[in-house]
Amino acid sequence: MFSSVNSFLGFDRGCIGNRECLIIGQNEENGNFVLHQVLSAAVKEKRPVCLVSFVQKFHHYNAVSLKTGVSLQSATEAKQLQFIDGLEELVHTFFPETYQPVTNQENFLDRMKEKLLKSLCCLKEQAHGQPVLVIDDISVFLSMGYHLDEVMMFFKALQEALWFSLDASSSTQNGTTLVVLTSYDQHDRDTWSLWKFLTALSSLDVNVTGLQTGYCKDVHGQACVTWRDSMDAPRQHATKTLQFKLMENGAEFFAAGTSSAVL
Amino acid sequence: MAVSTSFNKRVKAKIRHIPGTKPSLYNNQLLVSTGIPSLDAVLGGGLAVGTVLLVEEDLHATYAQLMVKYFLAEGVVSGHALSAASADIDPDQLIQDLPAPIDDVPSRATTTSTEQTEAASQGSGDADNKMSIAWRYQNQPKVQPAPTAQFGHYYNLTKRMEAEKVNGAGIDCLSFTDLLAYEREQPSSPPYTSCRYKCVLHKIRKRIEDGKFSTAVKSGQHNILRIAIHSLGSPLWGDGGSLHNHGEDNQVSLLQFLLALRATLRTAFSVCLLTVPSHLFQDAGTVKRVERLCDTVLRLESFAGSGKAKNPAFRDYTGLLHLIKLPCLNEFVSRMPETLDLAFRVRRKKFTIEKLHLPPELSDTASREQDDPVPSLRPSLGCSSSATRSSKLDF
Repeated sequence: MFSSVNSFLGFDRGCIGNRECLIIGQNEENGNFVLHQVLSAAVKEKRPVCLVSFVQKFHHYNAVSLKTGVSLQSATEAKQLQFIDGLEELVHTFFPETYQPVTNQENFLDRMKEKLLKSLCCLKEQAHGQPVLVIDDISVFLSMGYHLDEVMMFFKALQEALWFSLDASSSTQNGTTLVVLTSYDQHDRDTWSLWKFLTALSSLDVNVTGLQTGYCKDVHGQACVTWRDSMDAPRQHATKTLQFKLMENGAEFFAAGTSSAVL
Repeated sequence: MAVSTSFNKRVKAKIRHIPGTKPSLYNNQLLVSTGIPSLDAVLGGGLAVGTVLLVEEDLHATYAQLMVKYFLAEGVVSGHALSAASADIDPDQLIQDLPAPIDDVPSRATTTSTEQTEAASQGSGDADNKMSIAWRYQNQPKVQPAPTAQFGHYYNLTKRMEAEKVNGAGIDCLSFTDLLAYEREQPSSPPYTSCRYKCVLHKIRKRIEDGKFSTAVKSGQHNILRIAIHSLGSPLWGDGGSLHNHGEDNQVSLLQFLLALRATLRTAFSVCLLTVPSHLFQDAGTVKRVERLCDTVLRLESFAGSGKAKNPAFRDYTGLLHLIKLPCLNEFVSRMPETLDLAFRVRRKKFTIEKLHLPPELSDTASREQDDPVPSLRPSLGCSSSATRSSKLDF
């Protein structure tokens, strides 16, 4: 079941490669499965994983990954996975129990960045392999009232820190893999721009959209993956578009129009 | 060699039954009823505890208000704790006008008692009666309807729920004056978030803490807290919350509130029903963001005042129900109902959600053909020469 998403993304050896930056875009709530599959694959490969979520609680991720045969709970206990409850932190910042100075909200993104880097450092010491950082829905920052520039600055600074400062000490060429989910809507200018900007900085992006003809029981949507060429890892610039059907514990990919329901 | 596995033996959790709830057949979540059984069926059994249901109001907002009343009435009947808030209308008035439940318990009690007396009067002769035809069923135990705590009730819109029943439920109301009073108490608030949203969140948190609705509280019998907020995000709530004060109408305070509400409810035995006048929002992107921050999203589109009221296809319905989003909790793929073409219908006594189907075409056209469009112009060929022919069969 793993292999369907992994082979779609072209990760034949190893789960998500090294020093990749995977951006998952969704226009409805349908791209989550890519994130869950990549997360499960990384945990299964025993890579140190840091998961930060601004939309769901830990229980949700644990329950979903149990369906793919991976327990995030035991990975957390083995200090392989660290879950950061960004949802709770956002709420504490914006709706504090007691009065707090104004600057608290402005510096939230900086503090979050520091926190992520710190926990990745801790993970690197304890587990082997190249770490993976998973961010569930960076577009929540826009909903919280942050400006597009601020969110982009946050992302760029995080990427630089992960790839250049954090890895400077280690002698290996490889670096942290970044997996970021973002939701967008074509009528919402800011989220649309964020998705476009993020793909420009990525090495690999997946765009998950619903069908233009509306909901269908047998075809849940269409996913388009784009591999970008980069200086470190030269490869062909390529795109691939497939349709998919979600199942209880994974997804099934097929070429457009060749769903088993119509053939 | 120790092989680590994710397999864990499932230990049967101690079942704590909370009245008015049932586990989902699909994903084992605890569900509560919305008060409208036909809506529960569409949502896959009911509302999952710890989630937010968003109803986007129709243009005249009367039907969304009706759903709020059903939601509260179901809470009163099931004995749940309730909170109601609104800036546009006084929630005290709202709760005085809840529909009365159609009480089928006494009737069932009387029928069972009469059955028992009948059985007693027939006495031992009944036991000797041998079934001559359906003899297979002779030894079957007699079926008795098990007295279960009911999930979802039916209500009569023409009757009001008794005032003492409503008052006994102890509904926590939060009106516009309360919101303003809270705003005045706050001496110097940070300007980012509207104080009125903060007030609601503060009250909800306090209620969850005082009533021990949090999932962290292990001891004792849990109850469900139902929160209904009517017309959230209307102009009376006041937005004015932006980190940058660009003066854009993008309802940042509302979005912040929704995220905080989700975080609060996820760790509590609580469900929330929000109605939002999304047609008042200037920006289509804002509506999308609001939808993204809630778990279940419905949109009501009533025919009142639109051309669809005259459309014969929609003759039987009051409006359309659009399912914008169904919850995807603890699973990859959310369960979808068999059809997405849904409509709602308000009759004198009830509000129901039905599958949209066209009226049968046969009767319509048949009656039209028989009606003579120009009866007076036709030369009368029949035997009857009278001009006032009441029926075609008359001679």
